[in-house]
Amino acid sequence: MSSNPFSKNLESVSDPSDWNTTMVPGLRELDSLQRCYICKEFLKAPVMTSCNHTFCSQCIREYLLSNTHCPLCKSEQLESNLKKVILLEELVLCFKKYRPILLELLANSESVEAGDPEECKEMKELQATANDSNSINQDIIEIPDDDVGTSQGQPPLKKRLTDKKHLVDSTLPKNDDLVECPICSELMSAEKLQTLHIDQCLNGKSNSSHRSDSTRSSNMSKPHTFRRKNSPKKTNAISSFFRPVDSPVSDSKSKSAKHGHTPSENEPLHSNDIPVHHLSDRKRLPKLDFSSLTTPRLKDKLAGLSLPTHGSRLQLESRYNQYYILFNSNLDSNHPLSDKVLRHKLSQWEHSHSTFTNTSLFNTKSPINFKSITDKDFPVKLWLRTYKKDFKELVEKAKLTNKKKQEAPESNLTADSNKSEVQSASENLHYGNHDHNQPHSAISDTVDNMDINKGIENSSLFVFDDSQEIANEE
Amino acid sequence: MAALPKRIIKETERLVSDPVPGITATPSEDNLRYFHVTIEGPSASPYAGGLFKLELYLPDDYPMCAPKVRFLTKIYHPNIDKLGRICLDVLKDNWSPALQIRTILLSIQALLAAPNPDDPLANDVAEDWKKDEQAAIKMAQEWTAKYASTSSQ
Repeated sequence: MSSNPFSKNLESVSDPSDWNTTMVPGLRELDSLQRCYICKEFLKAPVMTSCNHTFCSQCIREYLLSNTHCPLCKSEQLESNLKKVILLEELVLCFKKYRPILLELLANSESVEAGDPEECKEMKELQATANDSNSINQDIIEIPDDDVGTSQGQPPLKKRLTDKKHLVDSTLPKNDDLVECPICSELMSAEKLQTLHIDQCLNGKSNSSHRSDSTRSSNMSKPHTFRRKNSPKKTNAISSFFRPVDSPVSDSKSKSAKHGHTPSENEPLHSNDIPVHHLSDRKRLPKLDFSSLTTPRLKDKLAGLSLPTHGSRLQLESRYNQYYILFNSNLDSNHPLSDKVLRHKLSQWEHSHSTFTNTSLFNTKSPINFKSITDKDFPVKLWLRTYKKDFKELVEKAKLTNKKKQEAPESNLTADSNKSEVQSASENLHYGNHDHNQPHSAISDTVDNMDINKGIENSSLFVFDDSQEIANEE
Repeated sequence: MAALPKRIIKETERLVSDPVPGITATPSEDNLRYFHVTIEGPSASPYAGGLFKLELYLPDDYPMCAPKVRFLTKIYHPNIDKLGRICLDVLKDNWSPALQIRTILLSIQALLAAPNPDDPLANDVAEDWKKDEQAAIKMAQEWTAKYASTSSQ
């Protein structure tokens, strides 16, 4: 990441603004509505809070680990109140799947316009009205209540697009999402095969017979429904657009309706790939109260989850917490990943997180990066002990400067010198990354810059009472 | 150095391609979490005509915690202290991951337009402000001309 992540990553970054260059720029609203307010990505395993706001399960769980309110409306929130939104996840997955095709198709506006100018005009009109009703949607702090307008405006737009899509459908392999497992020759999506199924198959999990039944029966039933319709081609396009959406909905209905039925009876309703009975067996990980847990016990817990047990206490705790978030949010997905994949994700996270990459007592990259001195749990004593020498030097230096200033006439304190000091301080902050000693020189420069007549002891950098402690320890 | 989340890349791209009027934010070349920021003083405020430099840093936990922002240019404002630190609720307790860099910078611009001496960070300035607002505003204008005028930078 240190080289230039921008050039490397920009290609893989999708943004609502991608639609600006298409012939339906308003689609950016549809695009941005399906994104998480926290990570700005398409919603992954979306969950709803009790205040009816929606976030990625992982994002909101991570946030609620250290906060107790909704990021959007500040109302009290408990992690246990989060509810998954099955339909939304399928909608987003579906949109994601067709997004690149739509982008490409709508970018080549010439050919489409030539083919059906009327439709095109209609679409632009529709677009204009949609734009009028809500142009604010781009902004991130919007409250979903505003979205009512959009959801009214969008269905016809979307329908138009699905109508258009049958043009593309011919170029698309119809069953591209189904591949055969090399072991049990079950049909499923390639993604599922790679992430979930092959592991289970290799581990000899024996639910394959159940599921192959279900997938096959659903595959069988789909052509039936198509044939029943009048115009096969058109309905094919539409139903394929909504197919993944339909199934979980009917499923959840049936679940609530015939509560108490055995999972195997419900199973044929899962058209695609959700081994639900398997999932419901899995319990969420409990939140741990680390203060009442000894390190060996914590290591036992980690080992019980087949997680690594090396590292400092802090690292063990953050490792558990991160896995806790990953694991529990995975349960909110309609397409959960295997534990193995989760553990891989965890190790990736560790490689990119400062808690694990920095071996020093705490992160001394630069003061501005460092945990704020005003934080409640700031380790004041540790800080004082570590920088005792530096503080002493600073006090000496400040006294010296003070003396000089008293000797020299007031006018010497020009604006320019002050400004350049502040700027050099900031440069030190900025380049502090490279040198552990830099931050202190940054502070020293700033000390020069403070109102020296008030005395160093009163200055904001030395407000803690423990400053006495330095003297005592000497 | 933690990996750069996509969210930061997106925000940066949008800040550069679609900047907020009166505000610029450019990422540093060797640390993409560090931004050089300038904010123009709002026109109906004592800071009008000034161009204020700030630094902004996105901590590893961003967006779970607020960006760190500090004024580099000296400014006479009851909610901004000598070190350039800013007293603003959304930078502290009221931070929410649904906020972002541009909204934070807009809030700071709004703070320049509406100083709040009742919740001070720089006590001396706040006292001046409450004692004689006209004089304080004049002082802020002088400081703006002295430290933040575009010609002097």
